[in-house]
Amino acid sequence: MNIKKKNRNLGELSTASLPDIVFMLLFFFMVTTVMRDEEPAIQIDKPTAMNVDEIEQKDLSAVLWIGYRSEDPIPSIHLDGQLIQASDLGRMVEEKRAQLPERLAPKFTVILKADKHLNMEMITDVKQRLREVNALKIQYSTEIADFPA
Amino acid sequence: MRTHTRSPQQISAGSMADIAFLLLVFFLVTTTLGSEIGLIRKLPPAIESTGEIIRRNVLEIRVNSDDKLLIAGEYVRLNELKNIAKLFIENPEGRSDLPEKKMVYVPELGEVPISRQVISLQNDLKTSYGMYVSIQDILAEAYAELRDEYALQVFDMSMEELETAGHADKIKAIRTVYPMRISEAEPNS
Repeated sequence: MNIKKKNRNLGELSTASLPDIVFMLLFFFMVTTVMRDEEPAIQIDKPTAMNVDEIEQKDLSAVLWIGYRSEDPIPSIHLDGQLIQASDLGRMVEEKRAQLPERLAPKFTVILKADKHLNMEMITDVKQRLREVNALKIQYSTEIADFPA
Repeated sequence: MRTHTRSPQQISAGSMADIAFLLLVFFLVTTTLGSEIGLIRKLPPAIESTGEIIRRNVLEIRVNSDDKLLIAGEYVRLNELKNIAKLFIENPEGRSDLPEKKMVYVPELGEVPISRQVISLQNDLKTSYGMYVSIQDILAEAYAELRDEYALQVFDMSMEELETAGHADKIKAIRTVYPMRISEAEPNS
């Protein structure tokens, strides 16, 4: 084989605009980002629905996970990634709402991420507790149903 | 004041890219682009107003512990629900056993009859959450279809077209005519 040293006088590739490109990307992500929620270690099989709405401001919401942890026959409740008891639910939700500025408090939404195999008993209990603390705006979190072909 | 003599030396921008990349990677990792979708509902206040309930204005839907639907005490299949709900909400023939209508002034539309419908959704403790959400979904579809039909009739545009065209006040008017009133009653066990 004939290995020859090539003439390297092509000149260096200018990287001067690289920071600009990267900064542009960076700003995009900074503006669009919403911090990833801590997801609890429970498996949730969400129900499906087609006529869904989207939460516009995720930072004005609290997420309630209701589902089964592995090997545990009783469903557990997590509020924003933290395992809680049903009896504490009202108080904790109230605290979450109190963290918002007063003007935004009416927009506070509780997102219910519950397993579709659960009984309504659990869901109704949660709903009653939310009513008690006047957190009335809720969202039943769903997956988009596959369109029938 | 004297202007400083400008140093001819340039600040090296070579590490700028590295810093930006580092930040970029951080935001890439922590970001969620997926949006929260689902059915947004409003729960009734803890102290429910005990206003007079007129029977004809309420469609009672019950989902029992076997996930079976009962409307006015009769079993109904899931695929029939939407049309029953639509008929109930709209009451096109002005039947006396379906909701009464009241003339209301709505901006953009003028005086229009608005049905005083309420859909009461009751469930048992053993009803599955999946079924409950499906029914909520079907009811939402009934409202959405009625709104669409009405929008086409009065504005010659569907709700989606109105939204793309930015007619927020028209959308609001349509929603006033067909307000979603689903009462999530407490379950009787």
